[in-house]
Amino acid sequence: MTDYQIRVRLKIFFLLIAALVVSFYSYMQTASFGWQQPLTLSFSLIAVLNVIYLYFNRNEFAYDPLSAILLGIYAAFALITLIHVQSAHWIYLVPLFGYTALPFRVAHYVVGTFIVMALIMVVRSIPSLEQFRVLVTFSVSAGLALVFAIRNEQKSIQMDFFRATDPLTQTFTRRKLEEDLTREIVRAEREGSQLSLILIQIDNFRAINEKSYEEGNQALRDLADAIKSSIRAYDNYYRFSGTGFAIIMPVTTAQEAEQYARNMKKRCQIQISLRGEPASISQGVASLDVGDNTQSLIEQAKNALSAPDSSGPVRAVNSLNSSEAH
Amino acid sequence: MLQEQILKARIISCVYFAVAAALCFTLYTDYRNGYYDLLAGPALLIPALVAATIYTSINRDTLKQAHLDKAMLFIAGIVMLYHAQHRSEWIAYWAYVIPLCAYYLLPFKQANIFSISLLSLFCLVSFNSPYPPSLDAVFNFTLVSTAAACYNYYYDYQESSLENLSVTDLLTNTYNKHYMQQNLWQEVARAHATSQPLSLLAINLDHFKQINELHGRPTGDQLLTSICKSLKNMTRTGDLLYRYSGEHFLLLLPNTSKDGALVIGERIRRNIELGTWDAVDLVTASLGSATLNTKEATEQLIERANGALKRAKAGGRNQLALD
Repeated sequence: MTDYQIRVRLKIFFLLIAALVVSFYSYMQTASFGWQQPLTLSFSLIAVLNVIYLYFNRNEFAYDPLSAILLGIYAAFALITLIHVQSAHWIYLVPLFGYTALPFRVAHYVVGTFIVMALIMVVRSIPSLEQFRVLVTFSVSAGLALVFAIRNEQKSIQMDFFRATDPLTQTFTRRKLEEDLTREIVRAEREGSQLSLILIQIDNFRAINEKSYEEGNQALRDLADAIKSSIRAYDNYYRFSGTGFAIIMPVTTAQEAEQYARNMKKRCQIQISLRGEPASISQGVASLDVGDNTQSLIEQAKNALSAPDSSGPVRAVNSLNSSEAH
Repeated sequence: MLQEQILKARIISCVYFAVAAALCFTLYTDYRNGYYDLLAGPALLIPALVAATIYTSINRDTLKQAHLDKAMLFIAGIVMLYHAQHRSEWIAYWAYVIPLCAYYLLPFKQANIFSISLLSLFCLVSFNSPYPPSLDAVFNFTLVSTAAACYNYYYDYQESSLENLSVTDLLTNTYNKHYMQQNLWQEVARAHATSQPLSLLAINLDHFKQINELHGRPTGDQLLTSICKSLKNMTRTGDLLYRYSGEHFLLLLPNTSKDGALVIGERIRRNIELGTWDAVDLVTASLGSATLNTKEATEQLIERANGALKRAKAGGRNQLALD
């Protein structure tokens, strides 16, 4: 199992327990605090939705915006309940939750802001006898949450080398693609140079894979080999999805990239067809335009890939029609 | 790793000190406000925490405090349960520190056992206490310990997979040369100490370069992968397979005499010869076997196995040569 898969499973586990506990709590509080109901109920509901969303994306990387919303609801709930002394304890979970729901760097700011707000609330609304206990417990739990998060982050950095390569095709992974593309975009903007992105995939991969699993793997390895032998020394290629690769071409205009893509396509088709099933390859090309970021560039290339006939935005997206090899 | 442990010892002694100071303050305020029944807990914990602080700060570089941490958590758990019995509404302010600390201090499995048993005792006690049970605290306790458990499960997973990856050859899923360096030396030393036999088989595929040239590198890689998979099926659990270089593997057979190595080597040779490897019709392997002599160095053993392999190659390949 990959690192992402483990993390998603843990998140699902945690959210299920949280949804269970919070809805039970909400059920118990029906009589006393009427105003808490919307918050707790929406928390449970969104948590369940999030679990369903994560369950369907448990194998391939997907962004998870819902857990940030969940964190927001939970933090609001914890801050509001601070007015009552008996329920001051809900704030302890927020730092732990924050570091799971958000990326490491963003989480620092969000958790830091929350800690300041919570401290102000604690000092203002909790009687002095309990105040001290709450403050100590809160600081210890926030500190330990930070320690846990840093520990995991350090291990992640150590794992990066292994995680950045896909074991089947020995190419960089999508995660690495996004990192590199972000860096290349900044560099292209600074240098005022062009930058192109090519997506390349096997259209009939499912048919090949159904014949035999090994043949599908082999087709992917062949595709990787063909790409490797046809790119320039300063281009990089990445395993983009189950069926395809992405190539970052620095200092390359859209026209040039299109030309490269055409040449590459022939080579790839030949390489894969040599071994058996003729492959149908389709490609999408996108070039950096003013105002593009990593996601929008990938999105444009994807659009060019999925809709070969549409011409797309001017000059930014070019697409090459997919065709059978024979 | 060592750095991490040393940093951890420092953090722990800081936490002990901070909690001890905080408890001194609560002891004072509780006494002033007349909560005499609550004084027993801090009075028990403060000396223990002070002693633990001193002990950990003295031994901060020597990494021997696991038992102390267990004892401290045990005492803290008892104090918490005592509090839950007598003032269940007060427990809600501070009980969560204990599972968090437990997950930080103890190995994952022990921390799980500790926090689950603490949670169940907490439930029992707070329902039976004379004061109304504070279910909130139980809920939040569950949430906090679950979150800590998730963090630590992930940490453990990363640590173990990092360990696995760093000793594995990614293509063939066998141990790499780096791991062989330490492991083989250890096994030899162990065989010397226990005076048990130890054999080493050197395995080399015949004409692998030609296979690569004929069928292409990817096919060659695939062949290596599938041969290693079946090599693992042919050997016993304790046997260790290392990728020495390219198509050259070393198979370490602990507790195996010359005859045993002969049997296993012959079985491997026959299986590779008779097996069907897709894409390549006929694959054969040459093997060299060496058994550890008394007081022999590891380098010598490897050299003898490789020498035997060389003779097998010279003798016409697809055979097993004994040293």
